[in-house]
Amino acid sequence: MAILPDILICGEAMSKRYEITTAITVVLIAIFFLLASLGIDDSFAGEGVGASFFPKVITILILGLGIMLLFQGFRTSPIKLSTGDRTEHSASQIPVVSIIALSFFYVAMIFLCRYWISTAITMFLIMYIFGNRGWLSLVFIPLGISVLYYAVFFRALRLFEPSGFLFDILMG
Amino acid sequence: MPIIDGFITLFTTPHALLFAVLGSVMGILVGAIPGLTGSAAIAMILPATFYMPPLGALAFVYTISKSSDFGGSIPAILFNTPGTPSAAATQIDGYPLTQQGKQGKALKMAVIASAMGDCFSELLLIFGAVHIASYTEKMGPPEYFAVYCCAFIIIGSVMGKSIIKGILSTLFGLLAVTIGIDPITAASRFDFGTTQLSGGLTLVPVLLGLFVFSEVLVQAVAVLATRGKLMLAKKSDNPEDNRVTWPEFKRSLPVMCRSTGLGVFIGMMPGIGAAVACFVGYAENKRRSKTPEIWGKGAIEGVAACEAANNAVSGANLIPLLSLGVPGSTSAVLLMGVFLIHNISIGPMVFTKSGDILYGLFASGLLCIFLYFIIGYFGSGVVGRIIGYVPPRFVYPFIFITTFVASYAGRSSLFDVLTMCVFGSIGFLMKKAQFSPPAFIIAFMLGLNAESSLRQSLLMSDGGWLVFFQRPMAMVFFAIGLSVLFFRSLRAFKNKSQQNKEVRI
Repeated sequence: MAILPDILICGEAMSKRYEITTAITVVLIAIFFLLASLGIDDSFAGEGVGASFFPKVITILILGLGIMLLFQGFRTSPIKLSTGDRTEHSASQIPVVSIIALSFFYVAMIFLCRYWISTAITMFLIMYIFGNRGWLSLVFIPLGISVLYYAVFFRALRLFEPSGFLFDILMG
Repeated sequence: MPIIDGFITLFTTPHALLFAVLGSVMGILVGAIPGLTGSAAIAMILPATFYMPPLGALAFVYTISKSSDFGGSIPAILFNTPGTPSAAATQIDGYPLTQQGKQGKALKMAVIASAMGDCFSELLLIFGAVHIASYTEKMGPPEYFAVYCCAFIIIGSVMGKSIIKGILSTLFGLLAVTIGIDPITAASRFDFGTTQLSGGLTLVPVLLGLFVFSEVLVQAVAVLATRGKLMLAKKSDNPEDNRVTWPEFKRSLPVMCRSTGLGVFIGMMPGIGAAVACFVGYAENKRRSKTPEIWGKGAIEGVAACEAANNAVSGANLIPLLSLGVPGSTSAVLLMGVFLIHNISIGPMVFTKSGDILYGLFASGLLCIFLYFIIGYFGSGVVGRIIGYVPPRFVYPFIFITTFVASYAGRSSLFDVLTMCVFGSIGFLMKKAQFSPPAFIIAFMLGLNAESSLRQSLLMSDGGWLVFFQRPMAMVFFAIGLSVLFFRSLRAFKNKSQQNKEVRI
């Protein structure tokens, strides 16, 4: 688990490497958006400033502060984590990575399979990740919640239900 | 008196009254669940406010945010775990009292102090905001741009542990809001050729991601680490230990007054918030106490100091929102969101254009204080038992699933759900890297207004930047913002030098 990057390990005490990584990320984001802002159409600007002015100023400020953060990172005292601490911290971030992956999986499932099936499966998985075990937690609650939410939001409040790509194909 | 009309409006509008009562009760429960703040709960129900009438929606959101500030003190006192960040200092003396079997006394003092601080703050809002708003009616685009700059600088430099990261958080919020079509020239900005991004990012998914989804990720680690239920300590059989005696109340009264004053002052400053107020109130009163050695070991005045301060922030926090249109906290952002959903413009004109709704809202705030006082005084123990009975590992999966449907509900768009997931991950990384999600969201909310003010100012002055120097009120706001940044930087530099000296020793 030592392969997980520092960005997921950090706690109250920020490691030097983590500060530098954060600063580099900020600088790269600023450069990306600054280059993108050069392509904004200013032909209707007229008097005053055009559509690209505000984004350009913001990205330049972000770039400047990102560079300051980088210098600050180089001046930070390094904090050495022991192998035991590092392993423990890495292991504690597994639920976080799992939940993030599950969230994107859930969105894909809703797109493919409609709401209530996706919700029942996702609820089962999230209950498992949070340490719940047993029939009540892993079967009855997921099914109950998915049916309840479907009834409230898509029937009572008449929200427009995602049709489910796979269902569309099956229905022809 | 307009507030009397407000009460009449509230009591003659059944749905508004119902939502005010429901919000008051819900807020206590929500605040009492560790990790789930009033703001997070409001973010989840924000899409539902589309379907509510304006006064009902506003009353619901406002009363939840108010009563959740008190609700956070219940687990802080009973379980040494604050329900909200604003109750973090309450546990210092609250939990030792519980360990002595005096949790009844602590809870009753907490609700008395909360109600007192909140009431004073609410009255100041009711009678003070309209006067402040009358001065701001003369403000034009240059002054508003200066106000926004001042707010961004203060919020960025005060929120969070690092000034640079706080200001970066604000700038990222401003950058995020520029995604989409320019409101003046209709030019595309940062849409990268996609239809979904050309519509821009909407508030609800960003808010849900940054505050609720990211908190689920944070709690995933915490819940698995603790695994156990919250256990209630045994209560003392002595009736004196379960009530606040008259001598204790008399001793705590000056503490509550001082904390209320501090809380109101802090509440009026954008970006500082109740979490800071409770520590400032505690520290200042401990410093002035004749018996500081008993503070931290179960001093009833310690509980009073924190709770009066953190609840006094609530009403005062709305003063910059209603008079200037600048939300100073996440709750104010959410309330502003509800105003916008119902097409009610925020700013000094709100008192004349929507006075009946506004005073109805204030009346619901006063009703909420009364309700949470009654529930808190007689029923805090019951709330504590409920919280102890429901393990957090059931609550957070439920919140996880709710964020998805809440972010979908606004526009029936899976893109919004995806946005929520992305910002949830970003929010978690921001918290880990000590950036400030509240600074981000406030800037996100105000960014387009700030840009419009800037461009209108330049159009008014035929492209001349001197317009900002020709307006005294604009110069005052710029000066305030820069002064706060200067003094905050100086303080940070002094603290750093002190730390370096200590390390060398």
